[in-house]
Amino acid sequence: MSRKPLTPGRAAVGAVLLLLSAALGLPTAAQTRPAPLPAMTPASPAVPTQPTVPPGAPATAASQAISSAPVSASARRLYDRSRAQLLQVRTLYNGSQASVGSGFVVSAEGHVITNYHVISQHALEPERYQLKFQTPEGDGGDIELLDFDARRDLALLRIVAKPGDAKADPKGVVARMTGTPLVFRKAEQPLAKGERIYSMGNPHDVAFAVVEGTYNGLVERSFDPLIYYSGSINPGMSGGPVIDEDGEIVGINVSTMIFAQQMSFLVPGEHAAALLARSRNATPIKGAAWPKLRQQLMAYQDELSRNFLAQPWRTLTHPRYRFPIPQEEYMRCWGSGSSADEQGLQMQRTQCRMEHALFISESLQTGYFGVTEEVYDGSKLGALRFSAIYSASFRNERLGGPDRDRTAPYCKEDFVQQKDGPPLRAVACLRAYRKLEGLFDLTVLVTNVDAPTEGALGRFDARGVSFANATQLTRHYLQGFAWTTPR
Amino acid sequence: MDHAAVIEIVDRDGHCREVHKVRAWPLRIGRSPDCDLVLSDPHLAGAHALLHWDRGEPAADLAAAPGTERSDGTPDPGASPAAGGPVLELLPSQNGAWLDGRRLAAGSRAAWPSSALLQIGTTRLRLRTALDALPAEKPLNRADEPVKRDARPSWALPALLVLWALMLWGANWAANDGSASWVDTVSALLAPIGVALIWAALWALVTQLFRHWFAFGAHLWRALVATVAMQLLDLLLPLLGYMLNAPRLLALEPVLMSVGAALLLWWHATVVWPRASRRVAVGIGAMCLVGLALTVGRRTEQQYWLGPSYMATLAPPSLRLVSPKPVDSFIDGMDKLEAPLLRQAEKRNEQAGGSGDNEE
Repeated sequence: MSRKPLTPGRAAVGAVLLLLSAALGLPTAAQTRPAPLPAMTPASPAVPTQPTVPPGAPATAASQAISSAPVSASARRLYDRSRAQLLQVRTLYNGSQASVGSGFVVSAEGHVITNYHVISQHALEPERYQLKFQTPEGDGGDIELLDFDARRDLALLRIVAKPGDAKADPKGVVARMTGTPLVFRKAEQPLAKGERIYSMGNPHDVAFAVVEGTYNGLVERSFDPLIYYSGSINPGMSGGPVIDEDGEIVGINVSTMIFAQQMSFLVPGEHAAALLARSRNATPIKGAAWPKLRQQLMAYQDELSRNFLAQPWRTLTHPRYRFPIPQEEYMRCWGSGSSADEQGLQMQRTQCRMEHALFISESLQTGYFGVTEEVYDGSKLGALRFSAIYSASFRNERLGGPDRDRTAPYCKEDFVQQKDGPPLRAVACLRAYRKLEGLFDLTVLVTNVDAPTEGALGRFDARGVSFANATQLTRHYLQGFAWTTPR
Repeated sequence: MDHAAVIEIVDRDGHCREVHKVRAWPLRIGRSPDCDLVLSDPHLAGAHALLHWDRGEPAADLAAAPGTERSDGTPDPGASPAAGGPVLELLPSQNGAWLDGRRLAAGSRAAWPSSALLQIGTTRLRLRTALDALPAEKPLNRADEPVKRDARPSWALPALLVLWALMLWGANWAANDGSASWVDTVSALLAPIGVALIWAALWALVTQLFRHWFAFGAHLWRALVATVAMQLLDLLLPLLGYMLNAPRLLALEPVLMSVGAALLLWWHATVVWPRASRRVAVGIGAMCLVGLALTVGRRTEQQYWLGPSYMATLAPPSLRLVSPKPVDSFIDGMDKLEAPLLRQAEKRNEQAGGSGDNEE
């Protein structure tokens, strides 16, 4: 996922890319997948185009203003009301900021909500990364991690200094912040599509900003609910609150679609409320958070796998075979193919995947499934040429190599056939997670091997599943291959 | 003339270039045409040296003569002529001479044993006399026998070239879907053939350098035989793996390829250095082993030390000889992966990976 902030130049390029992909109907995951918005980390490729708006760039700001809605008085009123509860969450490495995000105070005891990805460096390497907060006025202090919810990308922090503690907080900063904590909008009062909501945060460490936008309901075909917000949120605003006209929390800034305009995503507020309720009195997390992450991911993959296994496969229309295609309940499928008058190999591809991944660290995202089917017709080629091209396509599949997070793939391969199904060549490969013991990435490659000039190449990917679920999912996938008419 | 001797003019490789029989003692060596051994070397005096046959006079007589001198001016006892044998006397000259790297000044005398190489000017001379034991006749090296022009029939090389061209064309034909233009096809055919010709020509040049023989045909033959053999293996191994469901056969491929390449190098080298074929074999064999060890070393984290993660060959269905397994038995077989994966996961690896999104 790209962390690249949208500078005006890049936005233009992105728009072209998106148009192109829409025209071809060929989405690439990178273009359509929402990208989480943590802060700009100096290590990110964004550095050369640090989006800090220079003072002499009013033209950009003006053009942005024209494109957005007329300024309402609400934004100013709401910002004034909640600015005391806003803060910037800073992750320091050797005293310099390694990444920055936003957060907000939700309790009189100084509880703060932000995104998990804002504090992930601290959570995974607490001895190297310290957490600090800073208010819009520039005051700051220490803040500690109580709990997180990696699935929802949320974290619960607490300001270390107690409100009213004159020694730790001589200027009364904490007392002011916790005076009127932000409250969550009640779940029984759902917003209607088109209602104005206001996102706050500190984009790119420039200054605290309030961004007016529209509530557009939930993202469709998403396993976990995510609010689709039409408004410009930018890296650095991650973890900031989005409030309604009454100043109540609707959601939390989390990600944005790259190469798209004003397409942003929010974690619904009730998940943050649940996290606060669950861990209000938790003791701060000491040491690296891998065990907790593992526990949360185990539970998540169990739920996701159970849900996926319970779904019957859809079928791709083909005169000879049935291929497993997932339901589009929380996966998005795209089709493409060679043109009908193609000289040689005829190919049609269906690619389905979950577009939402769980952020674990800068180098590791997990917790999603994907299915690709490529159907080949080589009747114009003859058996030998078809075999050569079919093999080359099968060889082309990438499985990944050993890295910091995962091992090299270990594969099991054989000819398999289920009752009433065509003979298949199946390859099931697993990579084990190094720090999340018991979690694996699964890739299953399947080809039909019964016809000399036609066949299909299927690929199923499941990231971050237990071994038991990996075998279950493999079985489920293999069972999806059948004859169109029983023989 | 009771002491037969020859002077050999030796080139830089130590090979004898010319032999001069000593017909009378003493023998005068120099650039002037009146010398007995005339050397057209501009760094020589007209009469540069005189070669005597010493009959074994007392050493004292010789010591009186101006002998080779050390830097302190005392006569060098080591240079005193032994009793009987050839003795070199240097006549006045600017450059003097070197006997086995030892400087001889003009006017000095020194015994010239057969083992010592004399350099006067830029010419190197070796002396062989009847006193030296004649080494036994060496059996002829096979490589030194005259090259048999009919070792392989004259049609073999063109036929092999045609076979290879057909194989290349077949591979190229199978790998594209018919949309390639004839230009692409011809270049795909000519490029490897061009490489083979250049390869053979380079080896022929090397052979020319060492053996004065532009052995183009011999090298091209070797290159083609090896390439065709390796290409056939490359075709048959995966096919056999598919027919028998033996994906591990593919692990042989990198081994056979490196062994094949090593054999080919050795085969070329035997043309260039026929006398050193054993040493070359050891050298190339060691390189091949080191190469394989490095390949394996780089793959210790992979499931297999050699060969791909999975067999990608999908041959026409009629070639499959084994019957497929039920899905359940395949799934049960996956269980064997868990323990080695968990063991691997405990190892540390600092390789930065992608986010995992770019692997499709």
